[in-house]
Formats: sequence, C-alpha cells, structure tokens
Amino acid sequence: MKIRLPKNAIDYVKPGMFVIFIVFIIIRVPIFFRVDNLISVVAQGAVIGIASIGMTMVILAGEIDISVGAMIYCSGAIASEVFLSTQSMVLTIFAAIVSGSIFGLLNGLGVAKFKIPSIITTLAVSNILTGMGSLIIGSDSTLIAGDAYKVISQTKILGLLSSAWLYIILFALFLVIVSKTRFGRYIYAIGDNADALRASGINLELMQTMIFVLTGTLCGIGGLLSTSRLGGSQFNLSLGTEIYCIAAVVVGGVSMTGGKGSLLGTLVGVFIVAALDNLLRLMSVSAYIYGVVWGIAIFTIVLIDILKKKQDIRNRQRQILDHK
Amino acid sequence: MGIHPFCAYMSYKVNMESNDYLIMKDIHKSFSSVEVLKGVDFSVKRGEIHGFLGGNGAGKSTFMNILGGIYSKDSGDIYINNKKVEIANPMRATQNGISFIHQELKLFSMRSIADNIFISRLPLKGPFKLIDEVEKNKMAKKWLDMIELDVSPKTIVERLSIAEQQMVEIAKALSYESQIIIFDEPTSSLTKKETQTLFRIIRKLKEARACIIYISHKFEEIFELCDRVTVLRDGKDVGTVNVSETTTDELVSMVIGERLDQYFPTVPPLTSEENALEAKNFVNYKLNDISFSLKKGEILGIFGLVGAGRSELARAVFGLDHLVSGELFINGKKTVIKSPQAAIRARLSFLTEDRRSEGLVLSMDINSNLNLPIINKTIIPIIGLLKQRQMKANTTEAFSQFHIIARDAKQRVKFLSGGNQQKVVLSKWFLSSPKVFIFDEPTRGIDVKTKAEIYEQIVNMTSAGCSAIVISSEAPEIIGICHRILVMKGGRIVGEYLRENATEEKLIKSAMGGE
Repeated sequence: MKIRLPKNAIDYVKPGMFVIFIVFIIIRVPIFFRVDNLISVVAQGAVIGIASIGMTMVILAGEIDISVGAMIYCSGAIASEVFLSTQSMVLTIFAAIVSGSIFGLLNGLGVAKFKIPSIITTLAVSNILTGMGSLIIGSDSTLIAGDAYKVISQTKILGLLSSAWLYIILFALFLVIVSKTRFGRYIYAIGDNADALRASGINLELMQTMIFVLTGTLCGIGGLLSTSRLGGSQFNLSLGTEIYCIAAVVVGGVSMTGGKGSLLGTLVGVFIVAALDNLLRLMSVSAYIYGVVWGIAIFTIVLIDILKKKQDIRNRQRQILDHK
Repeated sequence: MGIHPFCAYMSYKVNMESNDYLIMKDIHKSFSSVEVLKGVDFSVKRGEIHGFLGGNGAGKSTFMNILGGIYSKDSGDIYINNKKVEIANPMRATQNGISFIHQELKLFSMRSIADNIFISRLPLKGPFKLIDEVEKNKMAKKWLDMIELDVSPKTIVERLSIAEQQMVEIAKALSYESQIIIFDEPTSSLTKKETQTLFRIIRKLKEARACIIYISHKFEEIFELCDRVTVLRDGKDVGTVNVSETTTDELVSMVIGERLDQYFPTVPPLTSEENALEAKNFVNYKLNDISFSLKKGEILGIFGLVGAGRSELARAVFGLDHLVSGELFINGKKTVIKSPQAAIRARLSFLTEDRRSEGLVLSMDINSNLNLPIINKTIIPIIGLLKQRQMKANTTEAFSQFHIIARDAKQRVKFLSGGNQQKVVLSKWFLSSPKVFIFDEPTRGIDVKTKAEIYEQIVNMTSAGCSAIVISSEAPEIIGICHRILVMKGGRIVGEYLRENATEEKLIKSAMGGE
C-alpha cells in the first residue's frame, strides 16, 4: 500500500512561471538567445555558479551561509594584493584558495563546534570579512593588479573563457561528490534528520565543518575569478553575491529546510539567475530595480515551497482518514 | 532464495539453553532529583518474546532508553551474553547488538529505503570510492525480502505507510544482526492486518533465537505474542510472570498496585441540566466521529491510554487542530472555533499537556506569565503601555489563591519546581475567567501535596459556575474528582461511566480493550 500524493494546482506554479519567463524573453528580448550573448551569460554566471555549488551543499544540510559575498570580496582582495606584490600566478591562486578555506573554517567551527546558528555565525563572519577586504584595498577604493592578472579568467579556450571552463570542471567534480560519495550522502542526511545521522555513529560536527570549509574554498576561487576579470579589486566588489546564490538554489528546487534537491537543479537555477540578470541589463533597467526583483523572486519561490509542504500534510492527513 | 536467511542467526554461539542472554541488575536513574527508576532488575532469554508493561510514568521508556543508549544509568549493571557492557550512546547499543525500534521512527524520510538501512556502511567501489548503488540496493533487497516487504529498496521512505516505515526500521535492525530488538508500542499506528504481519515477523525473529522486548499497553497483544511479561510500577519491577500462567485481572492489579489513597476534595453534586459545551460528530485525522456534552458546573473526565486521541480531541475543541467535520455548541449556540484566539474569545481555556513548551514563557518572570492571556485588558488604551500596578495586583491575588511558592513575582518561571510552574499556568488561565476549562494531564510530574491543591482548585472553580474537562491517564485521579468519565480508544469514545459506578479496573479494561 503506497501513499501517492495527489497533484495540486500549487505543483504547477513553478513550471508555469518558468514557461512564462521563457516566452517573455522570446517576445521582448530575442537578442538574448544569440550565441555571443549566451556565452557572456555563462561567463557572468561563473562566479555565482561556483559559489552556488557551496550554497547548495550548505542549504541541503539545513543551514545557510550569508557570508558568501564577503568571502568572495575578501579573498579576491587578498589575491589581487598578492599578485600585485609577487606577480606570481601560483602564489595568487594559492592565496585565494587558502584564504577562502580559512574563512569557511571560521563558519564551520562556529556552527558545528560552538553551535551558533549558521545565520548568526555567517553574518558575523561576513562583517569581519567586509571590513578586512576594504582594509586591504585601502583608501584608494580600487586595487589595480595589472593586466597580467586578467589571464587567469579571461583566456579563451575553445571559444569559452577560462572562468566558464573552471565553473564547468568544478560543477562536474562536485556533482560527483554530492551525488556519488559517502560525504555527499551525509550532506543530505544531515538536512533530513541530523539526530538519526548522529545516532548512526557519523561524526556530524566534522561533516558540517567540511561543508562550510568547501563553501569557503569555492568562494576563494570565486574571489580570484571576479577580481581577475577586472584586473584587480574595488570597494564592495561582489558583496551581496549570496542573494544570487540563494535565489539560484531555491529556483533550482532545493528545499530551504534541507535534505531535498540537487546540484543539477541549482545549475538550472544559476542559468535562470544569470539570464535574468543579463536580461535586466539588456533592457537597461535601473540598477535599483535589481534588488527589488531578486527579493520578490526569492520570496515568491520560497512561499510556493511552503504552501506545497502544507498541502502535502493536508493530503496525508486526509489519506489517513480515508484509510480508516 | 536458497537457505532461509534467518539461519544467519542460528550461527551465533549459544551458551546454555536456559541462560539469560540479557541481564540488567539494580538499575537506578534520577532526573533532576526525581528518582524515576528505583533499582530495576530485568532479564531476557534467547528466543524469547518478553512483554514489558506499566502505567504511564512507571518508568518504562526511561528504562528502555537506558538499554538503547539514549540515557545513561546512574548505577546498576548490564550483562549481555555473560559479559558486562557499558552502553554510553546509541552507537554503542548497536555495536552490542541492540536495536531499538522507537514509536516515533528515526528515519531519513527523504532518502531511499536502502540509504536508510546502510547509511553508516554505504558500500563503495572503484578507485574513487564512489557509492556502489547496485550492491547497496541488492543488500537492502535481501533484508526487505526477509521481512516480507515487497517494495523496491529505491523507494523514498516518506512515500511509505507508517507500517512499512516500521518494517524498514526492523530491516535495519536485522541488517546489524542485532540480537536484542526492542519494540516500543509498535502497533499504535497500525491496522489489524499490518499488526498480524508484524507479529509474524516477530515470531520469525523468535525462531531465529533473537531476544525480543515488546513494550505495550494492550493486554490482548501481550497474551497473543509474549512468552513472559515484566510489570513496572513507580520505578520498580513488581514481577515477571509466564503469560500462559496469568490472567488479565492479575496483570491489571500488578499495573495498578495498592496505592496510598490520595487526598481528593468533596465534589459537589451537579445542579444544572444545561449544556455548557456540546461537540457533535467530530472527525479529523485522529478523531473518529466523537460526540459528547458537558453540563454547567460539571467536571468531565476523559480517560484513555497515550495515543487514544484524548489530547487531539481537546486540541480540536480549542481550535488548535483542523476538523474535517463536526459541530460545536457553546451554551446551546453553534460556535465555530478555528483558532485559539477564537477559543479564548468564547471563554474557553486549555491547560496543555506540555506546560514547559506550550503553557509558559520559561524565560519570563511569574508576573509577566500570569498576565499574558489578559494582556489586552492590562494595556493603557492608545499609549499601549502595560498597567504595571494592575498586573501586580493580579499576581498578588494569584499568589495567595494558588499558594505559589516562589522568591517573588519577579522570579523567572524556569527556576520554579514543576508543581509551582503548573500553579502559575493554572492561575494564568483563571485570570481570564473561563467558562469551560480543559485540563490535559494537570498533575503530571507533580508531587502529592501539590496534586491535592490542584484538585481543590478545579473543584472550587466549578462550584463558581465554570465547567471542566479533565484529561488524565491516572484512573484514581479521574475517579476522584470527576462527575462523569468518558473512556477513549483509537479516536473513539468506548465507554461512559458515572462517578458512582466507575472503578479503576473498569476504566483500564475498557481503555485497553480487555473486555
């Protein structure tokens, strides 16, 4: 005897919105589908995409990381500074990755070891890193590392920018990690029922810490790419990226309470977010409108998910009743 | 399948046929100075189904949680297969071959059956150590076949019925090759047919020489399934008997025991024939067509076992749970109550079962807690500030009327004793001068003296014209203070007794379906 959840109108809202979105683009901004524009969408989306990989893992585990933008900002500033003073590509990449991982470790220890709610931990870390990043950039409000720095992200390989290639490689790697390894399975299990996982003898704290560290590492790489694209850093560069990541993750169907969703969904989400961003630019909408659009988008989609969950509970209670 | 998979169990070394495999000796446990277990002895043989009985609060779940590694014991010894063991956490319990199948299942509801069974032992393959899904599903299928659960191991657990989810827990227990399997009231959410399947599996486990501990409230199940039964009362084991040599009456008297007479106030006779509240044909996910009425000034008891739907009935009346159908009349007028706010407006009050999480704001002081339900009446109009002096007056009155023992009104309620917390909740609701007061387990975890005080308050209140519904698992209490008693079982009312002809035996038998 299997309980089948009947389909409800609410199930069609999200796909419906997606269709309306595509139709809207075809009619209003056909230029969007030109190859060169699509390539630039992917390039623009690379940083958001890489950070969204981390955000997906964090949200799957039932936590949140709002320090993503600040981690990208600060590690980007550190990478620029290192490049400026050493001109060494290897040291720069190393600095970005290590600094990002350390920031992630701060988040991880706060959440897993000291049991501070992730929203508070990452809010605090976010503020620390925003300040640190600005200190590194200094009073000029820009930090120019030189054109040689652009090589990292702007080299064209087989028609795609190296930043886009990096996103593709990292995505493939983490797709395997999240869906095919034990660690990946534990991420889902934490978001599903953390107590049951602990009772199974799994080191819950270590897993949680690792999720945040990896997110930090990915943000370090994001910081490297975002500053390399500009040939240096500037005040408040990339701050607020987390809102795009959260949007991509929820649009991609990952449950905000954890345990459900996939990186493939997030990939679709990243594309939609990057496309919407690109679209707003093509339509030359005021930059102030952006925030409004993103806020409403996240709010609506999370609301749909919550309504769906309520409907599921109702259906189930009704089924128990029918069964009597 | 070639050889029967249960034969796997046979390969274990058995010392001697009659030896006890699990022995627990002189187990003590206290929670914040309240002694819950006062030296319990317990033992189970191989190939035995051992029933575990006891009233609510007898210490059954505490005792079993010690065996399952969820609580740690204060003193006492545990021996498995003649070796002394320490069970510090659930993982150690698993390693010692103990599986605990809880009433609330501990599954990953969004993962597949196979993931659930093998989460801590996922099989790997290849140079990159990726999860071997094929092998995992094959292994899971083996255990599912064994418990006759005919679903794919890839099925997501939340798509299964409760009975099937329970089977998954059993499959998990078997996959660890557990020798001791504890079932905590496994049939409370199963249909008759599902129950029979479960019993067949349990008997198979017995044939395979596992030790089964079966916690239940239901006598018919004990008689059908168990070999021996141990009864726990007030934190002591009162005896272990062979099921074939005992009767329902003997077990009932073992569960009840000879209690010291508690002090009950004199309950004044009913004077009014008018209905204060009437519920007609209440139906929802837990309630099965329930109708009852409550007269003005009446104290109506609702008796039943945990899970019988008593609290759900109260929650439905108070607008906390959704009703599929049913009508409510207050003072003869049809009233629709869809939220607690509406219930309070209709002058209902509800003292919930869980006072710490639902009845009190633990980190606030007594004064603030007391004035919460009437906060709208203690606000200065327009400005919105609280009338401190009036609040203090209310509090002072409550202190003297209810004998609340505290340092002062500014003491935070989380530092009060259970009894005093309950008095704060009580007086809090009294301040809103209700017409109908619903008490859900009003004296749980409270000492005898405070209990008596609470009974007195309930009776006083009804002589002032208010009506009361008292939900309780304690039969003497309900007989002691109620005019009339309804007995619930499985979401239905299965019995109605007037105070004069109610006895503990009658109530317990009808609640357990013994007769």
